[in-house]
Amino acid sequence: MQTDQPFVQAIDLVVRFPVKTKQGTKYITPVDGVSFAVHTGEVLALVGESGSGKSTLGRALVRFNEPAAGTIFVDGNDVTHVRGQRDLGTLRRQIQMVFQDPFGSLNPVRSVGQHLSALVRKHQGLRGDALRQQTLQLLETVGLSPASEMILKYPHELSGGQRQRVAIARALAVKPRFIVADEPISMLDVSIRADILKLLNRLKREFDLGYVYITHDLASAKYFGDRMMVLYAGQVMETGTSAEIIASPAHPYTRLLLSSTSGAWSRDTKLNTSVEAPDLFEGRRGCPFANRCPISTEVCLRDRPVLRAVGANHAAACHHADEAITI
Amino acid sequence: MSRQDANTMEPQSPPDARSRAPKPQWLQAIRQVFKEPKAVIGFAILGIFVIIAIFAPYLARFDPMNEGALPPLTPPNKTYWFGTTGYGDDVYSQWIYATRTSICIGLEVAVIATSLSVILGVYAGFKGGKVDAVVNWVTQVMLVLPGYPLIIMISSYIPNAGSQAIVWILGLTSWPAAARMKRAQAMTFRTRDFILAARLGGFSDFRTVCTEVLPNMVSLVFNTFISMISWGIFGEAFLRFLGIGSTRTPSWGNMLNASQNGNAMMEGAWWWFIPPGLSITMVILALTLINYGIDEVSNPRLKKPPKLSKAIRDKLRLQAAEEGAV
Amino acid sequence: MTGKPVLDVRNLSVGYMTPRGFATAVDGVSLTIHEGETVGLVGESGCGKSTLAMAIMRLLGPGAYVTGGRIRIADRDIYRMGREELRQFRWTHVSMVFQSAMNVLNPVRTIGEQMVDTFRAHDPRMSKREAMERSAELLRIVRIDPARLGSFPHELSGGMRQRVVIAIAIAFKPKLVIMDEPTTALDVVVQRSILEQVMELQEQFGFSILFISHDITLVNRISNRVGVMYAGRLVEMSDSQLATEEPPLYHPYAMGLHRAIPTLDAGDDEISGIPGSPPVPLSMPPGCAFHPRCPYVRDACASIKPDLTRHGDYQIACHLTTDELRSFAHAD
Ligand SMILES: Nc1ncnc2c1ncn2[C@@H]1O[C@H](COP(=O)(O)OP(=O)(O)OP(=O)(O)O)[C@@H](O)[C@H]1O
Ligand SMILES: Nc1ncnc2c1ncn2[C@@H]1O[C@H](COP(=O)(O)OP(=O)(O)OP(=O)(O)O)[C@@H](O)[C@H]1O
Ligand SMILES: [Mg+2]
Ligand SMILES: [Mg+2]
Repeated sequence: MQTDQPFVQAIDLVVRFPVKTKQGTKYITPVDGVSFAVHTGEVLALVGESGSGKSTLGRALVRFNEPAAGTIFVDGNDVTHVRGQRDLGTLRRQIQMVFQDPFGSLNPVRSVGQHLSALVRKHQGLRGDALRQQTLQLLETVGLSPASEMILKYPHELSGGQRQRVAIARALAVKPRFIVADEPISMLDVSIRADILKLLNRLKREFDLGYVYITHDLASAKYFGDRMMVLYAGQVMETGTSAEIIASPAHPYTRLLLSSTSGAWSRDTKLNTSVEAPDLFEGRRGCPFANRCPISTEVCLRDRPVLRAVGANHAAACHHADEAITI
Repeated sequence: MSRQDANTMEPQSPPDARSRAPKPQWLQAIRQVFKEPKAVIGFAILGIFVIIAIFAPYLARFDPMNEGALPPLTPPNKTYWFGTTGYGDDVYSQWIYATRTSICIGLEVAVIATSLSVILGVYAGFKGGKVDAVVNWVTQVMLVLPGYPLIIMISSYIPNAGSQAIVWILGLTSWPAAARMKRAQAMTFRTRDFILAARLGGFSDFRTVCTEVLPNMVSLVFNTFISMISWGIFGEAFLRFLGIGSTRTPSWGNMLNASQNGNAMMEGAWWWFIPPGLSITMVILALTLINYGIDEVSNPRLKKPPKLSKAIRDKLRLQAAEEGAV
Repeated sequence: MTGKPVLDVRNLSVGYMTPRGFATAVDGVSLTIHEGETVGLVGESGCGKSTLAMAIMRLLGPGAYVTGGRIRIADRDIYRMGREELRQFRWTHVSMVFQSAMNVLNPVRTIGEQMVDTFRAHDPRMSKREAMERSAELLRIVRIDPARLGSFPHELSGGMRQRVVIAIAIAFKPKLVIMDEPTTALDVVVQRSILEQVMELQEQFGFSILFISHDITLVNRISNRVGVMYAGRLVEMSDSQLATEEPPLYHPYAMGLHRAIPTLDAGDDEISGIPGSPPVPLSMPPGCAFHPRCPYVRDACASIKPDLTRHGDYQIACHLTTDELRSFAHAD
């Protein structure tokens, strides 16, 4: 299924935002030198701490923000700095996005049908009855049936899971080849999550879609993601196949994440994770995780670690990755 | 499926055969407005004036401006229902036509001012950046300029300003406050997810504003429209009363102006100025009531809970009695 | 834990008037939270958790009716308060993190401005400087760089917005904090560190927490007691002094919840929910509302509504006997 050319490729991507502080405007870099490549039919799971730049990275792919440095290739074309309605339109026909909050991503005053049909008309050029049929078809595809009833509903009449399905249908209406799914299940009930993930998985096979799947939940990243990329403070900490990272995490941060996910903590066993928020400001030095890392040394505070292979298809950005594995 | 399971989860329960297409929210909102007593009274009063305005030629009994053909200052009687003016015109007929003029002017001013405030306020607020900066600057400048003196000044440069000129003067000067309000609201939409999604769909900003933002601001736009009607009617009357513009058009303002000049007050000719004066008050009152009504429906904080039907109240009471609760 | 009760809900019923009829969303729930205690509340989407929380805050919207029962917070009846008294009481005595916390911030004002406003609204004597310093301190507690006080909500990540709202809710050290799904946008590490901070403050100032979530693992971790809601009713409530040697007991629905948790070492097809769908408020099944989905259903279940009865350390609303519950809970 996979071709040689990745569908989406980012090389050394940097995104900067100005932040007004008391000392004047400073810049933060929530995405700092990130590279990855995803084929169609493949899922890259982005995991990382809250505020580590996952959404910013995802939004850069659909060009909601413009990278300050680095390059993004989509289907072989450099889209890093495309501008204007037409070119952005072309990009966004290829890459769509599903948002986290199913309550905020649908317009409260428009019906499900209105959400979808305008897109189908615009992107598939259908009119009249064909338009209606295609819209109904779309709802069936995402498992909203009976479609002829669903099409008339307004967002406040739908449950969270149903809304998220509408949001997915809206992304599909454009017939994209790639979807950035920004925490699509984190605001849903545990029992609905599996269904939505299964839906995304089926769509992947059916339409040969590629995904960047943003999540903070390792279990779902393992279930849905072929490969995983762990971000911390805007930098890639570790990347590799999901199974391998879960089985043998090489970076101390990944291990902290893993142990917090599965390890039993309760009111009585406290892990002192409460340190200052990671520094995102430009000009920081060393490894961003150093101040919380149990194995950090002097070099960690001084030099920024580069990604080094720690196995086939598995790399970690840690000065002590080799030692870390054995600990 | 029905509304109350809005939050329930999937998989779906089987379709309910009885379920019909839900009404769009705005339709429901309009229905609710018509259930609001204040709004109903407002609409009723306004309706009467609008009917008078539409059927003016059939309702009038004399030429409104026949210049002295009738006996001056006759008190109301069978022939001259509202009496005659000091210049020998039938007050009733003049009032009928004046209603038409004033209502028309009100509507025209409202159309101009509302459109401007929507275009400038919503679009700029949504768009942000340089467009917004420029529009906002113009709005601020217009806001600090003193309203009435400015209008009076402009008007006095236009000799014999007809209704059209007055409409434009009022329309072009009254949008800033409304635009600023809309800008503030439109700005809050800029970063909402459903707006981002529309942009992802490849729709232009203009289209996004029309289909995604404006439908969320219907009540605000409608509010503006209603207040601008009253502003137009009042402004016109005020300018005419000051004697600005042509005095040959029948209008409430001109009637007041004429009665003032004709010493109606001294002569005790109350029938000359009461009809236009009362009309202005009534129309503005009606519009204000309508606006309150809209507010009550659109502003959740003012919303009253819907009434429980008697059957349900009884059922609840029964239940409570059974459970021995208070 | 036995302090004074901070929250005492007795037999509370709340319903919504809908075009289709009157739908009961909370049905005879009783719940007591003592001083310094954390009580968790879990249940499927739509089972009435938020409705209960909003009723406690007296924030139910139009169309919602409290049809029975009573609520006391710190021995005060908030349904008998005047507007101004209520305004002061909220946030200083009881505060809430709303479910859609990410969207409650005003999009056109910076978070600093909003925090300072909240402080000064409840304590007019506080100077702007002081309020600013307090805000910075609170941000640090939820692990956000205080330099971000000048940022607008959309310039923060989803999880950061949620953390800001948590910070505001604990700012006044109220007696009771209601948290309605407060950490949906947070990863486990940050979640844990925020909750630890909150619990530390709780130990320091002794406030109580009602923690609502659909994540039963998380709730089990941080609560002294856990209640399980199903279709508007409380079907399970544990004691605070659990005899830890005893294996836990569950209501059949809670057993399903426990089995539906995806784990890292589970195979790919093993994630599955509880079969069937939750009941729709207007067509509640008679008897126990869970019986159409219950694997252990008995004859009585379809006709008789079970009340909460004591089974060891647990109160469970189920027709099964303690032994049956125990054997089913530990069948696999
Ligand atoms: N438009 C913006 N202007 C300024 N800063 C921004 C902007 N968007 C994001 N940021 C900052 O970038 C950082 C990363 O944000 P991002 O939303 O990418 O995080 P995230 O990994 O998605 O976190 P979460 O899991 O909480 O959603 C945050 O510190 C955020 O405040
Ligand atoms: N304003 C409303 N009007 C009518 N019905 C409502 C309203 N709000 C909630 N409901 C209904 O009341 C029931 C309980 O809803 P509630 O929001 O309390 O559930 P929840 O347990 O908080 O679910 P979730 O986990 O999805 O937040 C649901 O069936 C819901 O459809
Ligand atoms: Mg995010
Ligand atoms: Mg809820």
